[in-house]
Amino acid sequence: MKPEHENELERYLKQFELRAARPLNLPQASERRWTWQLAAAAAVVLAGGIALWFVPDRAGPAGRVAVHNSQPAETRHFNRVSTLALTQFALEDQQAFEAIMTSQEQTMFPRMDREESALRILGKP
Amino acid sequence: MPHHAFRAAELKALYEKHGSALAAYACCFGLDFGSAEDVVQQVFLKLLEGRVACPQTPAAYLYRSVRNTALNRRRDITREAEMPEVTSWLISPDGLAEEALAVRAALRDLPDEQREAIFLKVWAGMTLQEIADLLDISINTAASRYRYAVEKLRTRLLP
Repeated sequence: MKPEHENELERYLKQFELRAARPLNLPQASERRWTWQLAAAAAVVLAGGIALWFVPDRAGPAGRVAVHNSQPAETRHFNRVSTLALTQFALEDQQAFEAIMTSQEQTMFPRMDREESALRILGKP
Repeated sequence: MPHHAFRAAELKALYEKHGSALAAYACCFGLDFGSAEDVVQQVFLKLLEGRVACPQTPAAYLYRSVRNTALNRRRDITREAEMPEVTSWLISPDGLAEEALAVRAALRDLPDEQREAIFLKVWAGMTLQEIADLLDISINTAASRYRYAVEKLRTRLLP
């Protein structure tokens, strides 16, 4: 095959042009940023939920008792604490968090020694 | 290998330059033009999102990436339906409608690898060495694919 034959064919074929592709459709920067922000917010909420779920169990019942006993009497009784504050305690001050949880546990759940205690009923064989 | 992330403006400029040729290239693997355009857009979107690292010579990367994506797409399509017309990427100039039909038929009848070689050389403007690099073949193989294609096309189109 001679090079001039190749060139001749190339010239001939180049008469036929390429069909134009449709314009590039890229998502706008703001649209992409919005997606990232949504993903970040979802991640934060998920992490908070996981922390709330797992952190109270980390010390175990024995640890809770120990923490409870080590606190001064005036710090043992707490009013209802907001979830946000609880999360903050869980992340920053483990001992205070345990003390709050113990206190809440004592005020929110029915006492074990009463006749109508749900825990007592459930505990029956 | 050195690489960098692309901004939208850079990608648009690249698309202006190579978009039509890339879509036509994807058609060489049996895709209809609409699917070929989708393939090219998908490749550019991946680049924008930084899901892939792009070398500093993007043209070769784009052709390679479009090739792989088009072959995957073709595999999906051939499971479902008959292959579409493969030369819908050519526009016939005024007064050459009949010749255009002949060119389309001649290209369609070439083996895939020869059609690919002739497309890359004629319409993508690549050298034989660049074709060889893109397809991971030797330059001799690229040259022979191209020359076989030229011979067949010449016999049919320029007797």
